Amino acid sequence: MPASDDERLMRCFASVFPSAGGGDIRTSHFDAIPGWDSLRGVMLLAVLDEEFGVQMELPELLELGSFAAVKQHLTQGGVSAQVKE
Amino acid sequence: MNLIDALERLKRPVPETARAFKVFLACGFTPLHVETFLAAHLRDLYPACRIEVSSGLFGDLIGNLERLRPEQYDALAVVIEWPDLDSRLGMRTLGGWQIEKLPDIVDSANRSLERLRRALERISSILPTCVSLPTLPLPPLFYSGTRQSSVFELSLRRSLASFGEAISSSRQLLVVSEERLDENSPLAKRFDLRTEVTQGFPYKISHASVMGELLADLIRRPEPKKGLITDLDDTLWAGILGEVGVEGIHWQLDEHAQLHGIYQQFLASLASAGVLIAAASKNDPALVDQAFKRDDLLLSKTNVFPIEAHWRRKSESVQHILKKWNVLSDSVVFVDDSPMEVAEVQSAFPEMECILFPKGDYPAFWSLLFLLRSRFAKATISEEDSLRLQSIRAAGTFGETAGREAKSLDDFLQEAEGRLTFDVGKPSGDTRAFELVNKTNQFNLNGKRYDEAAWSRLLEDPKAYVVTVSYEDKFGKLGRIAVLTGRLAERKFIVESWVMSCRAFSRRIEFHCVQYIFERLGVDEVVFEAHATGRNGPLIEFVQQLVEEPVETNPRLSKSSFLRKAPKMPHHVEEVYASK
Repeated sequence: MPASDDERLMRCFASVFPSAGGGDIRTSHFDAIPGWDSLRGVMLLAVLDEEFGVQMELPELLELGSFAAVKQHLTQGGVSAQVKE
Repeated sequence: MNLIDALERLKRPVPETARAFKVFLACGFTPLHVETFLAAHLRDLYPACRIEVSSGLFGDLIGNLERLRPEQYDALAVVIEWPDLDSRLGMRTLGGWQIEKLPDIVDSANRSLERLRRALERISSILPTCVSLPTLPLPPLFYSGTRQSSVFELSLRRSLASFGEAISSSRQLLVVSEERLDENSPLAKRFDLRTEVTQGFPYKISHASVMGELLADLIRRPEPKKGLITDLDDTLWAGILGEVGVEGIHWQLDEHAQLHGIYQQFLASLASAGVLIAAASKNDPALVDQAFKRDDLLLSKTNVFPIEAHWRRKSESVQHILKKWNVLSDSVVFVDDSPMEVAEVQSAFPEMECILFPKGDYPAFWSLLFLLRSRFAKATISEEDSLRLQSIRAAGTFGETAGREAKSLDDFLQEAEGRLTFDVGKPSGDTRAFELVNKTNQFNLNGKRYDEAAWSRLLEDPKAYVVTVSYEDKFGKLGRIAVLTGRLAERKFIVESWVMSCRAFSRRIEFHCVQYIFERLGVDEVVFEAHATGRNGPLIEFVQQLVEEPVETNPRLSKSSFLRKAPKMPHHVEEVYASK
């Protein structure tokens, strides 16, 4: 079981984008993540819902646009106080 | 399994040489997480394969099935939901729910079901198919409210039930159990309106997970167990026979022993479906014999063979039973009310499933019945299932007579009046040959197994031979006991798979099979694609006594060499040709 929520979030992204490295995921805009498409986006929404209990729509996710922005969104939304900055 | 686990499972590397296992997932909605869970469960069930799940056009379930080319896949999973029957039964179209439209919705659904039935009939004759009937609640379109079933709703459900009944008569088509689904995914927790509207995916993740698992389990059904060994006292009946006597044991409601009666009834049901039932009891054998003469027993003594009643260890009884049945311990379930006996047998046979009979524990007993039903589950029952116990008894008589009369084996086999029938056709509707190839371990050339699609392809291949062998003698009928498949290559016949039921051992049937190939196919040489599996010792020994080369090198056997080494062939041989 991952120790932190940051790792939980990373696990969500890594499960949906299996061909992307951790570096790519953390630093890239969604469009630049290998394997990104709207279907993967929908899968990411489902995994985030399952893991963090947060429900977003695809346009909202696309507007966030990156791992860092999703992390910030989760923290600000009070989803988890433990999400690391 | 949750979604992230499923996705991670699919990330695991598959060897490049792994065979592709291709599944078509037919559904009218975006397959999304059902596809993910199905693929993940199939990865677990087919670890040596590369799983490929594909799907068709969104919103066109019936069209996808009508266009499907079944020969391109290994299995088909069909997920039907109400909008596939009429889009007005879904939440993504606005066709109107006015009262005057309800009869048309029902008519339209009936027409869709008929199209589906025809499409599935075509496909399932070639491709193993599993079908899930609508799992989601109907939308609230009926005027009768939510506490009363509307006549339109009941009409829809009646049509659906008729459809399910009609398609399930196809041998290769399995319908997902609604009861199992209800148990694992409660109705109220299945539908997700938000994802249905925004993504075209109507399932909550948990429901998608259950659906993926159930569909995968139907695509890859586990091999059913072959036999059940039961204890007697406080298991098959209530009471200790040695203490209360034959009239003191009970299994009736008015004697507070109904669970034992249900258990007897259940075992009789298993026996009627070809499951071997034996008894192992620390008891006085004469008393047990008397108890089995009670005419109110729900499990007839003719359904129980053998009965091991003595005071020695239970594991010793189990050993004797396995020998009589000639089956391996991993295909048998042992049931006893004594934790100590269960532990002793489990220790002696680690691969056997040993279960404590839950005396007086109603919920545990209820669960036991379902567990046993799943362990012995079969899609269809064949003639051989009803013959199995009879032929094992006959085999016992055969062996005992052979030993007692101390005649030469030649004389004994001659007097047995054996008749072998070689069937060189490929009856596509016959499950017995397929089952035999897939469940036989001991007399098995190489352990090669076929899934249903591969078996169908073999039957369709004009260059492939499939020979099925049946046997009977004056001791009884064994039914179809051997299957041999292979191909001709000039003057050679290459045996690709060859299995024979252990019930047919010691009758020289294997020599007859080889002789038949030489004579019927007119070849000079037979090549055995043999491979030692660790469990097929009897077959390997047989081949090794005929050939000069090591068995692992696809050894060849010439006709002259065979005729020199083969013993006298005792049986009368007939040949039939089943229609395709």
